[in-house]
Amino acid sequence: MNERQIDRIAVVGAGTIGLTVAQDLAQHQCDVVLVDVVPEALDRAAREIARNVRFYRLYSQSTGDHDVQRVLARIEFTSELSRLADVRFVIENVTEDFEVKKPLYGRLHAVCPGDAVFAANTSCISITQLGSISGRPSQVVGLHFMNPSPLKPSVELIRGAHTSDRTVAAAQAVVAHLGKRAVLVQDAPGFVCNRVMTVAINEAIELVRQGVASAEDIDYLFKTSYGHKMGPLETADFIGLDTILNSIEVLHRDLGEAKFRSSELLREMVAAGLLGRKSGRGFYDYARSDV
Amino acid sequence: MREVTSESSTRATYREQVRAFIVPVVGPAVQDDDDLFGLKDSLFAMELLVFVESTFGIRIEPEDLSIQNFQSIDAICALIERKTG
Repeated sequence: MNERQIDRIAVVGAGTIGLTVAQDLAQHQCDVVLVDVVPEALDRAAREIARNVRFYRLYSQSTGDHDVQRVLARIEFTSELSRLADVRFVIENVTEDFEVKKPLYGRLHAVCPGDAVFAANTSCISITQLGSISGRPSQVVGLHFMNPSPLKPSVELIRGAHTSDRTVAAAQAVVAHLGKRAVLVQDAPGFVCNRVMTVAINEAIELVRQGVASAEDIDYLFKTSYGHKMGPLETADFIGLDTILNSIEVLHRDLGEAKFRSSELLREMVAAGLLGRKSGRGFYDYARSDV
Repeated sequence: MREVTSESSTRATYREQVRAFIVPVVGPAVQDDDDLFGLKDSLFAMELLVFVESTFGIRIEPEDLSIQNFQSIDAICALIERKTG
């Protein structure tokens, strides 16, 4: 990993997690090219980053620049993938759907320099599979950033079947630059975090559906008994119930075991648009909230 | 004497406005020195920041962006007084 790779990094996909990764990099003096095909997503990302640089300061007095204007000035917001022609480290954050990611990797391979590394920020898609469609399987690695990235001290680093040591080292260097620890794990459905957490949340939702306990009581038990900052249902609302449903369905499809079958209540809530914080209501009501 | 009374009354108004925002969220039993994040998750601090800035027309600078300044009704009122004083 050389300095040029860390100085200028591309983040592709300006959704919920992509924008916090772009923010984190910019707060650590990296020039960032943030790409999204939807111009409105870029506008939203700029607004959210401006707000979140201040909000996250509330929770962390850690390193990183907290000057909103300087942070925004380090980010180029663009819809043009051609802007990645001189970028040697790309963090891909598009929708967690292999069919959506597939055409993107072909285009990235065509645009980016031959030695560029592609890091897939995914919580569930196989890195080996992404490597196979990238045109450069030894240069594809997984980096599962947690949300919101600026407040999280660790990242899952996933080695695909063909990922080279050099690529792993490049990804480790980027993570270290952000002051985080990369935990190296092997390529398996859901990796570590998503596999455990998704099942726990799905099971908590089943308990609500069966009337065993209320969402509030389940969350209270986990927070007070286990010291979790949020209970499983609050976590589900924070992540988004549609994302949880997608994750459990991917695990069910890839591993085929009954324990990964999605809760009927989860499916009903997603169908009804009760997605958690982002829709204003999930297991809790956020209608009055400004955030 | 008049000045002191006026200052006290401004403080009382701050407190009333802060309580009026917080009570519907955490319940009427909340005391002015209660830890708000023992009653609500810490994401509530972001709502409090937006409320304080928009209601009192002040800008909280990075050095004051600390969760301790939003930990209780007392802490929030002290912050507002510092910023408007």
